Amino acid sequence: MKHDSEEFSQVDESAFFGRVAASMSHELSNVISTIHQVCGLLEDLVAASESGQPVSIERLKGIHGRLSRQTSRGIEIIQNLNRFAHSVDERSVQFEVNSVIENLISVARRFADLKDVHLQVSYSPDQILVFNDPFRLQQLVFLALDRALEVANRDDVMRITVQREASGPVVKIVAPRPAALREKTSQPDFLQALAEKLRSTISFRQEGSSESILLKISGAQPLGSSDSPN
Amino acid sequence: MKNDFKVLIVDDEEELVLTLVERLEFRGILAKGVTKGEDALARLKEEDFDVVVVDLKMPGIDGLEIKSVVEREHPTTEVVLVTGQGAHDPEQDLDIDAHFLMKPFSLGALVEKIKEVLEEKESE
Repeated sequence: MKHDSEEFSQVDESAFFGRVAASMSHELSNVISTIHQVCGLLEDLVAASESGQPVSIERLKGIHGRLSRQTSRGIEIIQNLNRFAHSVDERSVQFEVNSVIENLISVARRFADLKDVHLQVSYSPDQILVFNDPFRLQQLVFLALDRALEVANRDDVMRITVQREASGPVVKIVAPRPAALREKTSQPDFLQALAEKLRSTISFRQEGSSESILLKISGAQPLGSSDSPN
Repeated sequence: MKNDFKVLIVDDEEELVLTLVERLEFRGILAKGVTKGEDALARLKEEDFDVVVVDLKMPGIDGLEIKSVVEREHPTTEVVLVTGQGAHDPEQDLDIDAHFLMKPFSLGALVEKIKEVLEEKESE
C-alpha cells in the first residue's frame, strides 16, 4: 500500500497518537482506581478506629506505601504522556535520540506487557543528536515494534538497541519470530514510506534465529555541534 | 441481600487486588484475589466462588477467556467484567452479553453490582 497523500499520513499520525493516548489513559485509570480504593481503605480504618477497634501502625505504613507508589507511578505516566504529546510541537528540530526512544518505550511498554513480551532496551552511552522529526521517528519505531509484537509469542524477549554506527544513528529491534515477521514486512509499505519521510532507511536482516529491523536515522550531528544541516 | 457470598477478584494490578480484598473482608464478604488469569482458573478448580470480578484486559489469559471458561466449567459462578475503557459502551463495543463495571469504581458500586448479578441469577 502506498501512502503518498499528506492527508492520509495525518490520519495515520492521529491513529498512532490515539493508540498511545488510549493506552496511557488506561494505565492512569488503573493508578486512579488503586488510589481510590486505598483511600477507601483508609476511610474504613478511620471508621473502625473511631468505633474503638485498634488500627496498627504497620497497617497504616503499608497503606502509605501503596499510596506513595501509585502516586509516583501516576506522576511518571503523566510526565511521559506530556513529553510524548509535546513531541508534535516542532516537526523539524534537533533532538537527542536516546531520550526520545526512551520516552517512546515508556509509553509503548504496556502493548508488550499485554502480550507478555519482555522488552530489553539498551541505549547508546553517547549522546546522539539529530536534526529530524521526533514525532515521526517515534511513530516509525512504534509501528516496527507493533509488527514485531503482532507475531511474538508469550514470554518472547524483544531487544531494542539505540546505537551510533559509522553510518549514523541506528535503532535496532531484534525479534525472535523471523519467518512470521518477514511475512508481515515483506511488502514495501507504510514503514518504508514513513522512513522516507524521515529521510532515513529501514531494512530487515536475519541474524541466526532472530530477525532484526534496522532503522538508520538521518540528520546526525557531530558530538558537540548544535548547527542544523542544510 | 446479605453479604454472604464469595468473590474472586482478578486483576493484574496487584495493589488494587490486595486493597479490594481487604475492603470486602472488612465488610464480612469472603474474598480472594489473584493477579493472573492462569491463577484464577487454578483457584476456581480448588474452590467455589459465587462471583468472579475480572479485568477485561490482562496479559496472558484475559477477562473474556476467563468468562468463557467459567461459563463452560463453573456454570453456577457469575462473572463481572471490569474495564477502564472510558466513555465507551463495552457491551456494545464487544458485542457480548456480560455484566460490566467501569474503572474507577467505588466499593459500594462493586458490592451493588455483585448483588445485582446474584439477584438476577436467583430470579431466573
